[in-house]
Amino acid sequence: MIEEELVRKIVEVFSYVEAKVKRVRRVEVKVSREKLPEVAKYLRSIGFKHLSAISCVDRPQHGIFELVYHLWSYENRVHLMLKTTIPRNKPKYVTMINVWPNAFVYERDIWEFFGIEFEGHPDLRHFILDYWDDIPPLRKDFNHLEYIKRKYGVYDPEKEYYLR
Amino acid sequence: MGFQVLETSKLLNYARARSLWIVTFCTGCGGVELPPTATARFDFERFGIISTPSIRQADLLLITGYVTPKTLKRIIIVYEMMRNPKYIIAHGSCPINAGIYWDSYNTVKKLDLYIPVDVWIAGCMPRPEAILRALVKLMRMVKEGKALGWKRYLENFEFYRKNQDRLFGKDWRKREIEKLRFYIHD
Amino acid sequence: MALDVIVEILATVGMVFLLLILGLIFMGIARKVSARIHRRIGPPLYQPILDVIKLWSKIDPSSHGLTFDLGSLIALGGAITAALLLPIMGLKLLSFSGDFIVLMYLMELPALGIMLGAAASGNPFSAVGVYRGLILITGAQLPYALAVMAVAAEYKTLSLTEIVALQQGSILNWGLFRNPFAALVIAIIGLALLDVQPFDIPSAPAEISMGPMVEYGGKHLALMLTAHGLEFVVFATMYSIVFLGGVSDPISFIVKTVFVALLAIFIMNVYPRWRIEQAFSYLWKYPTALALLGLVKAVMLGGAM
Ligand code: SF4
Repeated sequence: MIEEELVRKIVEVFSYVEAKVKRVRRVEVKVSREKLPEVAKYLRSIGFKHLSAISCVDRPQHGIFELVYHLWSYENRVHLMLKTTIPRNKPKYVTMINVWPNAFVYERDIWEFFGIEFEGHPDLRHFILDYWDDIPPLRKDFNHLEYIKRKYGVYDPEKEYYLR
Repeated sequence: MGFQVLETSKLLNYARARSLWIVTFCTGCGGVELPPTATARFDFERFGIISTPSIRQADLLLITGYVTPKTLKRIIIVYEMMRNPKYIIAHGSCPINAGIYWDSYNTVKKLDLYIPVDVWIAGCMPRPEAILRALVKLMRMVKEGKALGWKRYLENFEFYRKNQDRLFGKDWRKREIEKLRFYIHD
Repeated sequence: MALDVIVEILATVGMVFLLLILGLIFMGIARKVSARIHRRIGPPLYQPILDVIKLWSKIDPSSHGLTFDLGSLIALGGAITAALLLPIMGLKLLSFSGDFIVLMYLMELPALGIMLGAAASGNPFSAVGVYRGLILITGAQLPYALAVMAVAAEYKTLSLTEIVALQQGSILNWGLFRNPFAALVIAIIGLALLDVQPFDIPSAPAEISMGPMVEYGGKHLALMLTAHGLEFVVFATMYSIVFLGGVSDPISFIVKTVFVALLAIFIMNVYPRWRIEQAFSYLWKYPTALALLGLVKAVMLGGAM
């Protein structure tokens, strides 16, 4: 089985990672945030050349953001999820552009929607939410209704809204 | 005086109604409903409607779905670049009151606070028949000289301007021009 | 004497007016036939007239400066002058002994006028369109000049009236049969000059949004559309005069020009657009070779059948 072989290989090199086979063609690798860059470089060198996406999960009850790097290997046809956590009160991380150049867009996206700053990223600008003026909207403590009322106004049938 | 004649002449209004040119500009989900409206099944060209890629030549702007603030800026810029008289049709429930995105942080809730709309189509998503019906209705309104959204925009510019500024910030026009600086050459 | 002048002026004005309307109707035919080819119903034949009226009815000013205005005027003026050179239905308004050459080069004036105005508008799309259009005109020059020379050598005259006279008699006297190579080349170049597919590279609507026309709207676009329609008619008439035996009566005028226009419309709907370098290398290969063949034929065999 190619997945088990991969897991064995990774654990042999880095004794500190938690790796397991989720199911056919899905491998999960958990690693602490300090060690992730070197694991990422190694994974890239054994064939995980394609970064499909970076996703971020907000877990306020644990006080963490979970970052998931979805990798794909063309040779082995395996989807690998490289997971790490960063503290919620200090949302800072290093950029992965030097490993996978297309991380540029995903990191910009995550910065925009979760407010995680990627050190070394050359161009952290808004690109969907122009001139955003609140806390990042996909954080769990963002109050949608209050924001909408402030920004777009509430509908009040009594009031004259429209020009007649 | 000449202005009055241009506005109310029967022949001119008839010609305007029979030759509405659409800007090729789509937002949201509704763009997919336009190819069927244009091609063999429904064929809006028999009413003289064609789509033109150039904003300067167009008369009709279709808002085909939800509008985010970022898109709204483009819509306003495009609308102001079109030449009077000009018309707007808004498709679907999203431009009316944001439809299923009523609690989204990034969808404009009431479109006609920002630009004047002539004809609304209800539904999510309106089918080509409904779009054709709206086009015919707009043609009738233009022929009778009742589609006066462009005039409303000119007369109540302060009102629209105030709403736009509240959403985007005071100097949004200057900032948009800065973004386009690269493409402008004198 | 005075009566003569008045009649001439009236004939000229009437002719120009007729040809302007006819040009718009021709564009209507193009749209209707294209629609039928796409299995649609299509707009009525008078649709371009409504479009022009609508464009004149725009309230906002649409100018970008003097050169911009001049561009559309030059386009329309060039097309009208070219139209007046044609001997249509026995009328000879501006005919003289070298009018064939003048006509051939006036046909290029509308395109140049559009380029001039577009370059003044300062839009990046216009700039790209102008650049493409000039390349296309450069590519068309060589086979065009060769084909014109072939026609001149074939008939041994440069006057359109004499060309018509030489084609009378049998149908085999038509230029189409006397020198088929030149006829083919002029047809191909005509597509490039009229800016229709497969040569609509300057105004590619899907890529550079109408190219040079992008800033034209309102009255300027109305002038432009009229000029374009007129150019269409002038080309069809010129082709009928030089290769299809002349247009001496209204019936043959309508039948022959509509036939030529339909041919162009079918080609326009069947072939997709070329890239600029494809069009350029095509124009300098096959039409040039054909035009050379035509020239050789005309010189070797003379005007004989
Ligand atoms: S009304 Fe429905 S179909 Fe239209 S944009 Fe909104 S969600 Fe999409």
